[in-house]
Amino acid sequence: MIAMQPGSLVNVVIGLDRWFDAMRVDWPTRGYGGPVVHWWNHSLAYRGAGLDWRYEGIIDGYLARWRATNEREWLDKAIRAGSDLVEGQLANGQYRNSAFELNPTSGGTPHEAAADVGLLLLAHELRVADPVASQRFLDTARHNLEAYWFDQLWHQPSSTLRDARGEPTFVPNKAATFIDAVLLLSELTKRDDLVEQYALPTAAKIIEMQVTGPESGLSGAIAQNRFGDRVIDAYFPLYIARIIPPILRLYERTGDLRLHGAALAAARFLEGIREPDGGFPQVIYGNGKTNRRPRWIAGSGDILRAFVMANQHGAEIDVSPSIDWLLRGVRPDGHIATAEGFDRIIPLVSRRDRFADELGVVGWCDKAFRALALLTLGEQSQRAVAGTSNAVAVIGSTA
Amino acid sequence: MRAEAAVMLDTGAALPIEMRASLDLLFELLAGERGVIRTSAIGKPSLISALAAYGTIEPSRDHSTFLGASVSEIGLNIGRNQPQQITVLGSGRLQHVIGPLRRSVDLIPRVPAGGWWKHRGYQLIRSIKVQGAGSLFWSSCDRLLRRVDRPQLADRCRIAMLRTLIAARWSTAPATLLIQEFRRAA
Repeated sequence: MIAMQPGSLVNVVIGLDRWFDAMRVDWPTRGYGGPVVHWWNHSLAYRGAGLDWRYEGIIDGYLARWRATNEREWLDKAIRAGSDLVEGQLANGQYRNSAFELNPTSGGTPHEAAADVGLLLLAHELRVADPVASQRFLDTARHNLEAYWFDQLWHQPSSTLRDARGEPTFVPNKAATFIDAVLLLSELTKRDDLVEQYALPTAAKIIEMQVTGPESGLSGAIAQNRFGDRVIDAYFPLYIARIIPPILRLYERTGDLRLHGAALAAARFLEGIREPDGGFPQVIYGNGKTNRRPRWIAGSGDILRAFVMANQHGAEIDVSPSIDWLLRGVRPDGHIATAEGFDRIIPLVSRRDRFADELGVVGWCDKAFRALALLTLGEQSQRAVAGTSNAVAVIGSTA
Repeated sequence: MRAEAAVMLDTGAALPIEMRASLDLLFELLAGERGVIRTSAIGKPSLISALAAYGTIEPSRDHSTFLGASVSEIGLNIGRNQPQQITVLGSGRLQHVIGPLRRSVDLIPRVPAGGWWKHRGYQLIRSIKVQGAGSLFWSSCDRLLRRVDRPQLADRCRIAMLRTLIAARWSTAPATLLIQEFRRAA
């Protein structure tokens, strides 16, 4: 449980919203554009619209603001974002320029499933108020999931979601995003068989890759990926965090306590490796070595969101260091800095990447936006319950 | 794709990373507002469509871009259209050294030598090399360190490989890919 001044998070969320508006472009399609920096690659030349995982956080964040305030402007912005995806869908179901740091190209993973999550959340929100729009968003997401994820990436003989057609690759965090999309599609279409066919086998494969046993310093961590039977012994906090909410939602749906235990173990692993300033190393390897640079700032919104969800299921993790870490990245134009330490990855060579720390990237800032909007939802709900609009708000509580 | 090298790669990437870097550069060189590229693009259809994904290609009589085009194709086109400016993406000297070691990479033709252009009335105004000796050095370190179970160092070398894809601009330095710009001599 933490205490903080009401209004501060709302101000950050509103600043991000204004910055997102400034990042809208209309080429090659309408959408949120701008450069991308990533640990292993950048997309600096292509700065047009990217229909990738940025839409998951943008849509969910705007829906959270809509629920918190009942101000139509927020819902309209969520609908505008959803319309970007509808208009940018290709005939084969994929989205144009959906590969984030690899743009411009389509078929990005987990990006297209994340975009589907945004669309399905929107379809769910609108199903009573605007059933026609709801159906349009649902149809777009369903087309992508059926034509790309179910028909091309799903390997039926092994019940495995592959990262690319014809390659025996499995990436847990991407698979978790897929689970999220499947759960939402299943709920909206009333098809429980999708959970049985896709979500549960995928979750089982994710849990197989979780480190167990208290003797290991990595207990609770989930390996980054596998090629066939060969597990890559690397553990990325950000990507482990992205697994937690979908696994908890699957637990809520099925009541399977193994899912609950796995998600909370992952959250506690993350809590254990959190650094005193609230940041996280980039990656921890199975041999015990760590690469700390760069440490994500805006993207760590996904870790904060995982903690909040884990707390809702009894984890009791103090989220205040993670909020403080995010807030120290807030810049005057409203964006949140991408990271700290791009210039120290490799001596001399990385000096040219110094700019990357400060850059605003929509597909990282959406993660901060989503997490902070979620917290403001709690903040305003608490105020409504307590009737103390100017009092200290309590968020992230489990008690 | 080698499994030990692939932890950091998105397997959805359709083009080799040095080709993607080359297209990034071409887009930076050629694009105007709102991603519009005013040029006549000639060459490998897969490269033309990859460049078109950056924005919109609007054909132009004044500018031609050759993407992995053969020498005969380039010669035929400039003989017919005589564009004022030309941009060429072709393979460099290193491509034919390392090409046979990389089965998955589709080789593209070399850029014609300087005399070929001079004979047709064009002068070189810019030359950019992609994936030179530095980048290949870091790539070798990545593979070596992964084999001896030093992933924390291998990952850094892989990042160094990516950050050094744009090679030194020494005229004699070899590279895998070459981008050159020519202007019609007065």
